[in-house]
Amino acid sequence: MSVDNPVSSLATPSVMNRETALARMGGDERLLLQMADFFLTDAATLVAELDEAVRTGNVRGGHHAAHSLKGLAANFEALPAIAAARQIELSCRDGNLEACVPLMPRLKDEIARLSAALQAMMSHAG
Amino acid sequence: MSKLVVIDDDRSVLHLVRQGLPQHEVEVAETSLAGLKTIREFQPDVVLLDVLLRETTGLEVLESIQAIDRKLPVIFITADADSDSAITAMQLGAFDYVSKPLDVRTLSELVTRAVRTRSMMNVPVALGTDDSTMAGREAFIGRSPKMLEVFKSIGRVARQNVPVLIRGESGTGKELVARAIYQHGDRADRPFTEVNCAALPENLLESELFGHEKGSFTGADKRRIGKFEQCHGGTIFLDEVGDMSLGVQSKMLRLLQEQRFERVGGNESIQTDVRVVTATNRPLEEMVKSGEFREDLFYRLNGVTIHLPPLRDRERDLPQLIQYFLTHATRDLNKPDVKGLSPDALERLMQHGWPGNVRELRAVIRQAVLNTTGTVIVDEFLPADLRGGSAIGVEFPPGHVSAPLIVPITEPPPMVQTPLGGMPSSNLVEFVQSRLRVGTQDLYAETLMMMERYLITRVLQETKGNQSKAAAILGITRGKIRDRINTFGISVDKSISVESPYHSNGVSEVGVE
Repeated sequence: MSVDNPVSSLATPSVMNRETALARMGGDERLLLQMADFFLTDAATLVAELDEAVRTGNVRGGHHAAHSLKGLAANFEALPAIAAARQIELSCRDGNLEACVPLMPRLKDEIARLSAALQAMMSHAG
Repeated sequence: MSKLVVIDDDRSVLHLVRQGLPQHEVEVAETSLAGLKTIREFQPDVVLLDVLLRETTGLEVLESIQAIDRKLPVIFITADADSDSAITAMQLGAFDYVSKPLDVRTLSELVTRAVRTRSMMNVPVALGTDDSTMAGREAFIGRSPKMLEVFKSIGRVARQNVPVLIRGESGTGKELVARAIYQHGDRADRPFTEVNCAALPENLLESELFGHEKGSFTGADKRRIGKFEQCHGGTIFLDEVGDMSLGVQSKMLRLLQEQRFERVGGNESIQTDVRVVTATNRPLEEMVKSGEFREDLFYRLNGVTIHLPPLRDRERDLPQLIQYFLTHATRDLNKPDVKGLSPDALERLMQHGWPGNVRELRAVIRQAVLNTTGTVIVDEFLPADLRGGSAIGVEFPPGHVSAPLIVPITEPPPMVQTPLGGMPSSNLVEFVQSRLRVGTQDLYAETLMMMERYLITRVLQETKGNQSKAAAILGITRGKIRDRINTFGISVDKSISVESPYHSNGVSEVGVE
């Protein structure tokens, strides 16, 4: 991992796709950064909500939190994060909260990676 | 400005819509309760609704919205392109759906379509001859005997559940008739939707009307709900029905006979209750003889026929129509100083044959208002085609008193370079220069029009008047070519040799062998 180009090492194509995200926003760079900000603010809350839902057996709450995380990640074409959230969403939809427990660490990892990439993108933009 | 309400508990979506669609006034809500309250107060033209909200499902909210306003277009936001609930929503009458992640451009186009549909349903078409009923409405202007017959027919047929076939040349107002029938009928509180049968190739038209199943053809990666299913209980207007292929005609016939159909590639028989209004400018009787149009379908569509007269048969309506378009053009194009026409300009308009009918008249008035630099539209400001074209004259009856829109000229007309001098100009630089000189506020639209006029004429010349070949070269539909021929008054002449398109009399002609 190179240290002289932190943006590219974190924002690898597998974590997110900046070009695709920007195209979806009609090329509006400012809007892209604002959406990144929304993610950074809301993702943490949603992960906490999901944790709580799994812990308390709240299927509906868990489904909604996973669904929302998936949507937030999709804005940036963050395929690994999308996949992780979707797995949990489907388990919740099927009423199987137990199956969510082993899936949570991976989701948290992917959300963390995506958050780092977005942070790097924002600071690079200055 | 059109109004949009977005209901989604994802703040980033609310933000994206607000920032990405600045051409609309946007109100947002994070919950269904707040959303419904906002809809009641703000009275939007379109609603964007997430299919999965925190405390309820989008489907439940859709029902509540429909209870407030059955005709309000609702666009669902779904997380997956393949969403079952989105498809169910379509069956319940949602206008369309868009899947996350949202693309600003796709969303913008969809919202624009929804706004247009809303306007078609809601902007009342006034049938009166009394000017006081015209305010705030799209007017169906007419005092001539033939138009009075049209109004009577609309009144008779609106409340009957029979198919109506509207016949008339291009540009005579067939869409207005269809909307008037809808608004004065029993289904006025249900949706209205329009499909132009000439605008889509056969397989896409079939899918648009009847829907398709996943995998039914290449590119059909999800099930699609067609208009007949989506518009259940409402009214469908099929414009240019003469352009429907025989395959689609068969399906239409069955639908009219049995009120059932299948989606493309599907086996499930779907019941529908839709009022069908159709329109055509094609000679259906001849097409039946030549085998291009099914006779049994023709008789089914023809429950009642309404004939719209060409403009040349409505001479009594011309002054009022001119006045109407003048008022709208000066307002829309922001030229409040233009007060009226000179006697010679009016005479020119009354003498013109109007092959493009009311649509051509509207375009000419708008062009004239754009060209005018003073307060009066004089003859020179009218498009060149009018000034050189052949006339199927409309005679002023003896003793005719000029309409009040004529303004006496107190000063000589200014020297003005007519932008469309002579023939369809292809000199872009000169054109833009001349329009900039007169301080235009609509240069983009004017330049597009100038380009189209030249391009269509040139290509038709190339294909010796063959519209199908022209459509292939241009990559547009034949319907669009026919439409432009009428709007620009391009005359496709049959003569022995290929004529030069440049005539000194200023007529745009394409010679055909």
